[in-house]
Amino acid sequence: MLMDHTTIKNLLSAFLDNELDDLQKAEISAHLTGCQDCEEELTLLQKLDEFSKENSPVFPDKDFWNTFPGRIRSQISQNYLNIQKKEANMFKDSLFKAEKGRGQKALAFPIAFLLHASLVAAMVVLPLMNSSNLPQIEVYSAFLAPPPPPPPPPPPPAKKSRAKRARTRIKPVQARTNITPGQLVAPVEIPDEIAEEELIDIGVEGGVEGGVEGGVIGGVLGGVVGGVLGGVVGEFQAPVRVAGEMRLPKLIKRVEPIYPEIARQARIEGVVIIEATTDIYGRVQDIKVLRSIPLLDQAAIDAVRQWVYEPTVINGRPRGVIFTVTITFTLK
Amino acid sequence: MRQFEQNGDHKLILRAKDGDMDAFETLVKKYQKPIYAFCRRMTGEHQSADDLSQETFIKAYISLQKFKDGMSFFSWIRKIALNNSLNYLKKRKREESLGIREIKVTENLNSSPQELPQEQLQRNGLEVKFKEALEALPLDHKTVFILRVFENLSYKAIAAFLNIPPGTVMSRLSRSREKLKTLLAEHL
Repeated sequence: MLMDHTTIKNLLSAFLDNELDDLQKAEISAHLTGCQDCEEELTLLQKLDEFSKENSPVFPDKDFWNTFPGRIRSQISQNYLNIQKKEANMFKDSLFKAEKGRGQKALAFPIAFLLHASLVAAMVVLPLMNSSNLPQIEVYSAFLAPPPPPPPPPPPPAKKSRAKRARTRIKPVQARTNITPGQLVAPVEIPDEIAEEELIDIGVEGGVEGGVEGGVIGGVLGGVVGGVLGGVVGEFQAPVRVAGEMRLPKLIKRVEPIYPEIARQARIEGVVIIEATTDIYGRVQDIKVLRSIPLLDQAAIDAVRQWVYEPTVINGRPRGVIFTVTITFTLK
Repeated sequence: MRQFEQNGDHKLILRAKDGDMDAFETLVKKYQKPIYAFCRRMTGEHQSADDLSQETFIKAYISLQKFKDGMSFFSWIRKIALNNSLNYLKKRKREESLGIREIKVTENLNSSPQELPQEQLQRNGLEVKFKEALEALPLDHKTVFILRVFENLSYKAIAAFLNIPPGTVMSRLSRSREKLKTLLAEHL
């Protein structure tokens, strides 16, 4: 492949430096004989090199060179002094020695980086791998109202068609015999088919979808068996303070307080007044000391906590009651 | 010079590594001129060339333990000189752009302080022209030109020295010559 004029002109510099391969050299030599422009260019380049060498700056004189090594020598020793001084100062300030090796310095960053990365990775990955060991936090329960009580099992609604069918089949039998309740009577006529009774599916006329077996007509979904009509599902009934005409609940179970040994030895006597709160079943649930005798309080609280009262019923509903109990400690 | 270098350097370096200042001084005496010349061509000033060549030898002495046998001591210190010069020139360029150094540039343009005024006058012609033309080149072009023309290195050696591909050496050199040729056209 032959090179064009411009390419050759650009290669002349390398040609001058004898840096081309034989093929290129041969081609350029051939081109030069014919191309005056390139020949002139090459001469110019040669002249430039000569000019550069001729006009490069002149060296300083002998004195300069004779003193040069000495100056370097003194500078080096000064340098060392400075370094030593610096190090000495450093030791004054801190007790660790500066690392001179560059390799250790260069390694410090990657090592620190790796350590940090692995630490973070461990902190992220380990909990992911061991998720079973972690305490389960119910996030939602923390923000939302408590879940509603589980709904009662679904019972059947009254299925009219089935009831009708059964009735139509049984009716003729019932009509012809007078069956007295509590007496076994053989059927007069054997029915050709006995309607299968689905025990599970006993519907109540007027029942509600989602009602409970044993529920009351007019009851509320989500209500409790044995609940009271007119009650509200989930309603919390605050205990009532005994006041006015209300009578104190009757104590069913009484546990005598134990006289504390330390109080006995100190010969402490007195009256502890306690405010007790019962739940709807009459059990003492909450206790507050109204009049305190420090050494006797705990004994009184321990005793009253075990007391059981008759449940108080207000407006047909059992309610908790708040009242005061007076316990007298006397030494015999 | 190369032969001379290989014959004597090895022992001198070993001694200098052990802290023998006389051995190191011999090395300095041997290479002070080429190192100074290189710095002088890179910077174009006597004062900075003096500073840089001193710095080069001091740095060489301090990091002499890193010098490995089998390397050429001269190309090793020349590399130090190159790095020093490049750093210096970059710094000078920054300072010039901020206008800090203006005075110093004009004050000590092309002469050593020991020169006679007459010599200075003679020189003010072509040499200054050439220096100015060289200064006009971009730094990396100038470096390649100096290494080729004054240090007489092959393209391969320059490529290895500067850690660039040989093709780049070729193109930079060609462009430097092209530019110098136009700048110095009237003197050629």
